[in-house]
Amino acid sequence: MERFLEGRESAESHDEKVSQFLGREGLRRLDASPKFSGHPEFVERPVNPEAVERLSPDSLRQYFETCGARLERAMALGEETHTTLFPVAAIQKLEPVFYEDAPIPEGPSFIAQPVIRTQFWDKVSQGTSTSFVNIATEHVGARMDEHIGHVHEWLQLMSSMGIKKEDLQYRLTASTERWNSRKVQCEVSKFYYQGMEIGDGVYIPDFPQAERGPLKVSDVGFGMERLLWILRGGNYFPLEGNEHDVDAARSLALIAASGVQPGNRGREYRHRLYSKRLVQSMKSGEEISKLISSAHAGWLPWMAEAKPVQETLGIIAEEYDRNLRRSLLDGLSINHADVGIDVNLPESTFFERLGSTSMDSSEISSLVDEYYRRKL
Amino acid sequence: MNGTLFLSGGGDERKAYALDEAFMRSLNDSPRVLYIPLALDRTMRGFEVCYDWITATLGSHSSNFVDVVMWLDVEGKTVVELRQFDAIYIGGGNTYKLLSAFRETGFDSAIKQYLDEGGTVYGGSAGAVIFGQTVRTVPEENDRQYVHEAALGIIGRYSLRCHYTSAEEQRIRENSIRFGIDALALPEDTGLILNKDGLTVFGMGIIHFDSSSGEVEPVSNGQSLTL
Repeated sequence: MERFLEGRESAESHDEKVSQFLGREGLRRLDASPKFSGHPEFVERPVNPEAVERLSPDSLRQYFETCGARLERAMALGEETHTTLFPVAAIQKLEPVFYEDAPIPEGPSFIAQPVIRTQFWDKVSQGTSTSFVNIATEHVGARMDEHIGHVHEWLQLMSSMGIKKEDLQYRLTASTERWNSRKVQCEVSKFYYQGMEIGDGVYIPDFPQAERGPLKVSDVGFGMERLLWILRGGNYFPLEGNEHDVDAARSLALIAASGVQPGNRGREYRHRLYSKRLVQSMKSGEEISKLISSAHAGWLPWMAEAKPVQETLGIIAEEYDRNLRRSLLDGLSINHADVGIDVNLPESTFFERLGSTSMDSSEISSLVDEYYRRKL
Repeated sequence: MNGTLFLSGGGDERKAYALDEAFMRSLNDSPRVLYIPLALDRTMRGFEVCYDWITATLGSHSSNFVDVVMWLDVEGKTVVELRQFDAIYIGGGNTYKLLSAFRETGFDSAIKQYLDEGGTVYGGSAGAVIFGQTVRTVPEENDRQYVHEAALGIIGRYSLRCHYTSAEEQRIRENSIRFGIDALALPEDTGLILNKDGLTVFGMGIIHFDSSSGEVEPVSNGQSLTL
């Protein structure tokens, strides 16, 4: 290990150095991305609830502090980033350094960042969710050997938890990406466990800067929920229920607990999107409330700032009930062309107006019952 | 074909605003739109930026909620999945990459059937070019030896080139004659609309490169083209 902590860069390329190191650590190299079955062997392990403790925010912070990392606070989801409406990766915490010439932080830092990735909307399944915690170490100014040192720290951590190095695979790739209109060359090591991608180590040798020389950056990060799934077995999602419903509830709880209100634009759009998705679950209001409360409790230890659960439910409820009214009307509009009532009306007015449509009293009664069963 | 196809000459949301507006106005008040950005080469973060962009772009044409779903692959997707959408928006990028993704998964057939059944599709830049006869109008984009060049052939004998400027006229003319391509060159603030009434020019006007006569003729806003 000390060989990789030398104070000077050698002429070896990233791929040579990283593959030598990872090979010595016992990881198997892949030439192509593995196909993930969605039902890996570890799912069949007896559920291990103690695994949760090993991957708690406090345990992780303690470990990385002993590795010499500074502990950074997660970004609030209501905070604007330079590139995306919501944080999608822990490294975005460093965007003021990358894009505003903010002072370069000394040494590495550890960040546990809740993120939203809507691109997985139609891929939600075991192992894939549209929100999760990206746990990562970030180091601006890292030499290659220091980057490898950070990868080593993560491998050691996972090994101590029970994720053996010889069960891990890796693949090396390189890409040139545009980050906020800057061309960034990335050397990437992707890590897999039983075919599932669990994280990556990204080394950027020259991040272009406006007013100073280019920066070297090490970004090594993993999906907390996937690591937890490996350790715990059973269900990837921490809550029981249909995966799409649970994912929507978790993402909505995260967004609302961050204070994001619903709307048709910007960050508010995502609140409305998830709310509408959750209405499709057909669950009772009580079940939805429990789901969101449980999701909220799960997010709380990871969030820098969060609204209390009752306030979060309050932020969600009005929009949810409005979307519920919309959904019920859409179902009726096939047979009743005149049910285009404004769903933004107060509830009592809304139901009054129903009486003036072509719906008969038993249809209205059924609708009202269903509404009150499902409203928040 | 019973549906409607909007083809944009590309450019940013300001240049494409008028055609985007026509597209959104053709849909219901609160449409469900499928967005396919497969022409782009992006990382995870890049595709999140794409989603932010498309919701803002389409949302700027409606005071209502526009339900946007983004697909990052079309493997296994058929017309059955497409029927849940009021429209499909195919974004720009590398034309060959996009065509290859559609051809190799059979998704091109699904799109054609969706249009035949009355669906609405918007193609911008690369997303427009793939609806022509061939993508050899943009040979410079074949940067990875892609093998598919025969495009979806929805707009009769024509093939498209987008982001057109007059500086390209000679090169396009030569390409057209050499490969027998009847090309329509669309500047960025123009487009085409194909529906049951035919193929009509939208915007400031386009250029037609006739492969048989070698003639180059402007086609004005509102003019129809014989398929």
